[in-house]
Formats: sequence, structure tokens, C-alpha cells
Amino acid sequence: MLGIESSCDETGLALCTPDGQLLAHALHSQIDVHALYGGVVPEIASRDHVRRLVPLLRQVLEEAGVAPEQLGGVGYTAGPGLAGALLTGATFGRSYAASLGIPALDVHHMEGHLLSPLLEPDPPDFPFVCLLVSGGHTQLVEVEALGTYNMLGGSIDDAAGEAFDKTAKMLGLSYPGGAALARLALEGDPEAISLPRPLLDRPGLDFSFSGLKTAAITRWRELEGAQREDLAASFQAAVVDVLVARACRALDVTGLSRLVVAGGVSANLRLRTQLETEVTSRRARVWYPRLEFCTDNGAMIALVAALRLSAGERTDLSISVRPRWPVSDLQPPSRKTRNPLMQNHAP
Amino acid sequence: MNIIAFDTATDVCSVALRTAAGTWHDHRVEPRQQARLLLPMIDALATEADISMADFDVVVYGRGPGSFTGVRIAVAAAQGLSLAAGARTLGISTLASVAQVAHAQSGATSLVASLDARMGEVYLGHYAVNESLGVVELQGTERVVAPAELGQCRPEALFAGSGAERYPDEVGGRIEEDVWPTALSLLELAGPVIKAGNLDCPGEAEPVYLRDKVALTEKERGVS
Repeated sequence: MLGIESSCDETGLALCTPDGQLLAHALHSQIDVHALYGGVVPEIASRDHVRRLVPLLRQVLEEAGVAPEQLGGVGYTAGPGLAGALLTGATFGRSYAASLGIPALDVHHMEGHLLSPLLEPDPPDFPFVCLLVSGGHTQLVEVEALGTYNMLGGSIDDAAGEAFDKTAKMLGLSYPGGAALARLALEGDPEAISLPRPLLDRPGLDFSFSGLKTAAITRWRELEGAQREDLAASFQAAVVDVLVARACRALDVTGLSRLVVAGGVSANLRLRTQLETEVTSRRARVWYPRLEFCTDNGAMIALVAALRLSAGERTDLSISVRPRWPVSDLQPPSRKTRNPLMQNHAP
Repeated sequence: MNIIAFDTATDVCSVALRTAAGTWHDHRVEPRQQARLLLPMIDALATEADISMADFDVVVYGRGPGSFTGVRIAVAAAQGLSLAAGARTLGISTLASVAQVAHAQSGATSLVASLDARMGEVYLGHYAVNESLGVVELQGTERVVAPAELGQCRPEALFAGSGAERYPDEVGGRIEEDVWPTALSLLELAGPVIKAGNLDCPGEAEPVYLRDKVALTEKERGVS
């Protein structure tokens, strides 16, 4: 099974067996290009994807020692994401499958992240709680089984990774500054500057990071450039406290003992350390995808494609993408061929 | 030889298939529906011709200029189809397709093809007919320019395409109305190139946007 990811600024292709064993994967990141612009430029992202798809496909086929005739299906990210970027990978993948005469499938990007720990040698069993935390999303999802997802909570404003990036930019760190902020935080005191832990005093499982970001900006102005490391450390500590508290509350609410953490922010060391302590104290366990699969990648798309295509699910020849596609819309695999009436491409 | 051709760079989704048994085509004006339409249209023509997509020997695609997204739909489809089928590829200018259609409709031999590039600009190319080959040939280069340049083109030329239709007051000559790029014209334009064997390898397909600057860097915006 071939998986193609092109929802934002990374082009990822991967091959796996029908039961989800990874055979090869390749990734091209556009971060250096977009850094010049201070953020992702959708048109530039789309232009780069169309240049990378063929070489990356050849690379994974060669690495896996698989001939195109041996492929059993193609899955491609059909949403959520940037419309033009999604269309590039979807059109390429659907056309490739059509000419090979093999089935194809629209894959939900977030389902890829939710299930990405299943690529590891010691995967969690269903059901589990997933904390999905990246530059575009902060969500808590109860994963009962493949395709049965209950939204427990999500960010009502900025995603955690977005707040990291914006605060990093304020501190003069280059785009995308989240990881750089985490490195800077290692040199600071996380208790030096008092910052709020938004919504923690309220019930429910939603997040809010906009107010925290604003508080950090206000403190930064008051400090007039001093204590940069302390502000980074204090900001990171506030975000991590919120994420950990909410994840633990989700375990309590659902009564589950398995937590999966996925998305780019799941690579954050402080988050991992604090979660390990808190989750273990609840006699629960936490799983992460390997570091290279915390961010966008083709392997997680190949995995979802393999699981759903093997169950008989198909998408017809019409290519459609959904820039906005709630994960709660997903259903368990069905043998019915899907052609949801979806948005096509952006003007 | 089985040749599939398609253009999705404008408001149309146009597909044509030529085999030893004949030529089939389908042409629909449905803005922003090309992704939904393209593969089902190709599949329907292949079925009519009693072949499969794996039997394509050459994939001819409209390489632009035009809608950025539309251009990429054609390019990505050409990449995927040709790579799987082991077919050679050929990108043909969407402006040349407009000129070829205008020539076929009017008999004119000097043509200015233009497409609305939005943001107050047009894509522009001047074409002359090569009488021995029966196809239009680009004179000079394709450009993205201000509409006022339409008025600086050769006055004897026939104007065609959405650029001239959007800015009729700027046009210095006669306009051939309602001309769209067609896959049939791509087949005509591809004929001499295929005969000469000047084709790209399977999987090789590149867009031509003409408008290459799409955003300002932080440095250009004066962001420190």
C-alpha cells in the first residue's frame, strides 16, 4: 500500500504491507523555503509538492524493493489541510492508482496522526485516548476502534504548536520557532515568570492558548527584552501544564488507561517527561510515535490506507479534497465506495 | 499509438483520446470542477475506445499558464498516469491551445492568445500559423503583462481568450469570442512533436505558471 501526504508543507510518501507493516518512507520538508516568508505560503507549498511527488515515489519503491505492479492500493491525504496542497497529492495519487488499476482511498490526515503509534513495534490496543497536539490542532479524542472517534475536547482558539510558534517569533526566534523555543527554555527557569494556565479552573476538556500567548507578549514588553530564556521556559511550562492536566482529566473521564500523544508538539521533552510521571501515577501508560513520525509524514497515511483498503473501503475516480474535515465525521471502514460531495479546489 | 490529452488550466475540463481506431473527446465548461471531472472523463473515453488507462502510450497535458490550481491538476494527473502506464509525456502551452482553436475557427494566421491572469494582468502569447504543419507556433515569448500591452500587439492579429474578452477596450484588433483551450487542439499541436519523438520520460511533467513571484519574503516586506 502506498501512502501520500501533502496537506501542508511536507511531502511524504511511504509503503506498507496490507496489515500496516512499514516497508519504506521518504519525506521532503519545505520548512527552509517558508522560513524566508515567516510562515507557510500555500501557493509555494503546492508548487513544491508537485516537484517532489515523483522522485519521492521512486525513492520509496526502490528502498522497499517493490515494483509498481505489486502495489495493492493508494491512499492520499484528502483533508484537512491547504486546498491546493491537498489537491496536488490527491490528483497524483488517484491518477497513479487509476492507471495501475488498483483501489484508492481518501485519507483523513488526523486519523493518520491518531493511529501513528500503531506503526511502532509495541502498539497500544484499542480503546485509547489520543492527545493530538500540533501547529494546526490541539484535540483530545477517544479512539474506540478504527473509525470510531469521539471528540472529547479541542482548542477554542490557537493550537498549542501555533502558540509556541507565535511566542517564539515574538522572542526573535526564526520560523517555525516552536522547537527553538523549547531549546531556549532549557536555559531558563520555568517558575521565574508567572503565566496563566487557561481554562484549567473550568470543567470540560477544551483548551485555550490565545490568552496565554497574549500574557507572554505583555510580560515580554514589560521585561524590555530581559529574561528571554526565563520567559521561554515559563511559557513552555504553562502550555505543558495545561496539556498534561487535560490529558489526565480525559483519562479520568473515559476511565481508560491508555494515552497516545501524537502531532509535532508530542516531540517536546518537557511534555513527555511530565506526562510520563502523571500518567504512570494513574496506573496508565502513554504511547508516542517515533520522533520522525510526530510531524507530518507519509507512513501514517499509508497505515490508514492499508487498514481501510484492506477492509474493502474505496474512493471512486472523482478527486475531492476537504480543507476542513472534522475527525468526528469519520466512520468505521465500509465496503461502500465513497464519493462524498466535497469541496473541490480553491479559487 | 494511444494518446490521451487534457487541459484543466481554465474554466474548462477538456479531454481527448486518439488511438489507431479513432478519436474521442469530451469538453465541459465547469469552473473549479476539473478535479472531480478529469479522471471519470478520461475513463469514459478509454472505455469507449475499448482500452484501459494502462494502455496510454503518450500523455499530453496543458502545462499552463492559467489557474495555478488548474495547471497543477493537469500536471499531477499527467505525472501519475504516465508513471503508472510507462507512457511518455508532452506539455503543451494552454495559450497555444487557445491560438490553435482560434485559428481553426477563423482561419486567421496571426493570433494573440491571452488569458485572464487576475490581479490586473493577462497571460499573453503571439502565434503565427506554420502552414506546412497546420499548427500555430509561438513568436517571441509567453508573458504575464498589464492589459494595456494587448493594445501594443500587432493590429492585424486576431485576439482570442479570456484575457482579451476581459479587457476588450485594451485590444487593438478583432476578438474571436468564446475561445477555450481544448484537448483536441492539444492533439493537433502534439502531432509534429510526437512524430519527431521529442517526448519526456514517464512521470516527467512540469507546470508553467509565468507568474513566478507569488509572495514577498520577510526581508522584502521589511520585517526584521
